[in-house]
Amino acid sequence: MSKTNQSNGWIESVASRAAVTADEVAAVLREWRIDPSASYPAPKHLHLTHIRFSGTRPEEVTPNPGSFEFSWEGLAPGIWALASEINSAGKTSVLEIVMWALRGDPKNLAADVRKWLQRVDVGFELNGTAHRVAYAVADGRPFGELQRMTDSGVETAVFAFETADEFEEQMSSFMVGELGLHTLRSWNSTNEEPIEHGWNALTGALYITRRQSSSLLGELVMAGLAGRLLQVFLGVPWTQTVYNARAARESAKARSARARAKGADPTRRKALAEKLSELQRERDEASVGTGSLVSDTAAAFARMNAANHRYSDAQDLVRRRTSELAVAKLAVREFKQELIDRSETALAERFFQGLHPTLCPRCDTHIDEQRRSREDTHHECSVCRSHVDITVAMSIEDDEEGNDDPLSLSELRAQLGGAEAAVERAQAAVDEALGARDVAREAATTARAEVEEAEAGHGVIAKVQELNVRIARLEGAIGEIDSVSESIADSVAEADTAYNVLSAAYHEADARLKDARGDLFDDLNRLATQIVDDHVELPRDDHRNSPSVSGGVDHR
Amino acid sequence: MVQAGELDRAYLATVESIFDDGEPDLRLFPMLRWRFGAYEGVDDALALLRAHGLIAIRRTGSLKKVSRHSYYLLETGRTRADELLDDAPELSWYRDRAQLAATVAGSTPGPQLKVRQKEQAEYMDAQLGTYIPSIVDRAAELLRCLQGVS
Repeated sequence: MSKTNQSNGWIESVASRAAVTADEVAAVLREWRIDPSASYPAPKHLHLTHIRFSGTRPEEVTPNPGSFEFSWEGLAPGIWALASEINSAGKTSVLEIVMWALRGDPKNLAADVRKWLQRVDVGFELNGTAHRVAYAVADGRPFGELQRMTDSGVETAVFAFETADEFEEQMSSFMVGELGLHTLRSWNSTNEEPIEHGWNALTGALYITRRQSSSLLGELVMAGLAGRLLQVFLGVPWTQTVYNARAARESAKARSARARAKGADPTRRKALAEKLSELQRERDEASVGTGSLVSDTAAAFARMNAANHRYSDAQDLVRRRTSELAVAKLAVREFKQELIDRSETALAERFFQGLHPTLCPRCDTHIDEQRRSREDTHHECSVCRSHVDITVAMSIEDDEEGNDDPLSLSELRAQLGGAEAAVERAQAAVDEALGARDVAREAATTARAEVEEAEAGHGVIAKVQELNVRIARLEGAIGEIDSVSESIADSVAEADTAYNVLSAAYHEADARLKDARGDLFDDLNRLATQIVDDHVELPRDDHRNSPSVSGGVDHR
Repeated sequence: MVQAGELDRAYLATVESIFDDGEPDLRLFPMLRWRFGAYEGVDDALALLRAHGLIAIRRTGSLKKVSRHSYYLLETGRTRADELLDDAPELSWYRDRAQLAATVAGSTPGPQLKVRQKEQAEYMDAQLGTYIPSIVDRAAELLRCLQGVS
């Protein structure tokens, strides 16, 4: 393997490939967290020191219900084997429990075994320092702590956990940091999102299970993950940069595609523009003749209001004239009453004054001729002997004297005539007012009809207004599309630039990786051949493929 | 009485002419509502007629408690009345209305006539000492109603 790879000239090389400036490259790589992993890392060492666990199998579990305990002490670097004479003795469970302790995730540990466990204690030495992860298990839930042995032999807690999530998260963070590892990123083309492979995925290189798989390394057969894991563990330079840049490139590509998808859909914009033209034509056609509609309606309203006022005034005039007529008729009646009263009184007086009393109305005493004659000679009343001066009027018209009323009958009749003439005039005024009222009522009715006719035309105006609203909305939608298109264009350009730079970074890092890796896979191939019976082939140049197994031999 | 069928419908024309001539207004002689019904002081008028020998008055009972007054038109009175009508035809209204009143009263005794009067709400509801209100509006409505039926 070449050991001459370094990060010098990295930015400039990428800039040259991408045909952009170094500042642009630096900005993109900073945004996407693409760092050059040029140096060979220092070797890290990890080996187990002890394995202990205990628990209780329920009564219904056969064979061997009841408590159990396992302890394997004194483990040290080297090759160890765990064997049994019978199958299903628990060998796989032992290894799964160990992985649980190192990974923080039970993963493939059988659920029933997990429930039986009550105590787990796994010791390991990491870079020469003793560690121990010990935890109790309650109904499958771990709670315990990771301890570190200091130089003075004292165990100190590194972290504690009380749930499965806490255990996995803290163990992952601890191991990645202590082993100098980094998360690997890959691109999920199905979900179109990046995936980060942390400690959990990297532990696939520690434990090769017996399950049938075409991959010796890693738990998943996906996109050369096992090969990448191998290079991570071997500390091949530029490994992390290559895969992170590749994943970022795919992410940038997807971002660009999404931005374009959001962009102005020419089909949609065209459809909106066509609809807009259609509505504008419809609005213009409907608007014909409506120009003066509003003003005509206002004028009709004004005429109607004026006609209503005139009608109201005409009604008031009818009421006044009617009242005046009633007053005039009352005056006529009063004159007539007085005239009747005075004329009949005069007639009665004349009648009785022409008669001679014949007896006393009180005592029926007869009045003789002698007493009667004293009325003429002595002006002495023949009934009560009071002074009396009776003058018999020849006609009631002559009855002027002794009348306290200043008006004579002739004058009264003249007054009556005047009053009757006033009644005629008042009646004529009433008739005239009634006629004017009828005319005003007719005019008000006509004006009202004109208003109703004008209001009917407002249905057209309402339609035109509605069309204007719809037109405004379409114009707004088209304007928004045009506005968004501008910002989308900017986003697309930005994503395209990122893709360009990340693609260049990927290719540059890949070239440096290959240079650094050199004959690594050839060396591994020879090493594998020495260890196993079957031939293990590692592709020389395609690091995406996992090491394959030919034959059915378990490798543990 | 026309409504009750006691008088001929021809009398409706008389009623109509009364309204047309304005008699309810021009010939209104309001009467007071007093203890025994409608009241008007007629003593002076009767004394005038008696003093000239036109009527005779007969009282039944005693001076302190007169149970009944009867008034008789004497032959002299009838003669003078005819002369008055010849001299002043305009006074015939009184004769005509007196005849009409006599027709309406018929042979109904006085107490029963009072009962008929008291059937009119305006008559019964009038306060003592006040003038009895006119029934002209109801009479006009009844006339219109009867004329519509005819």
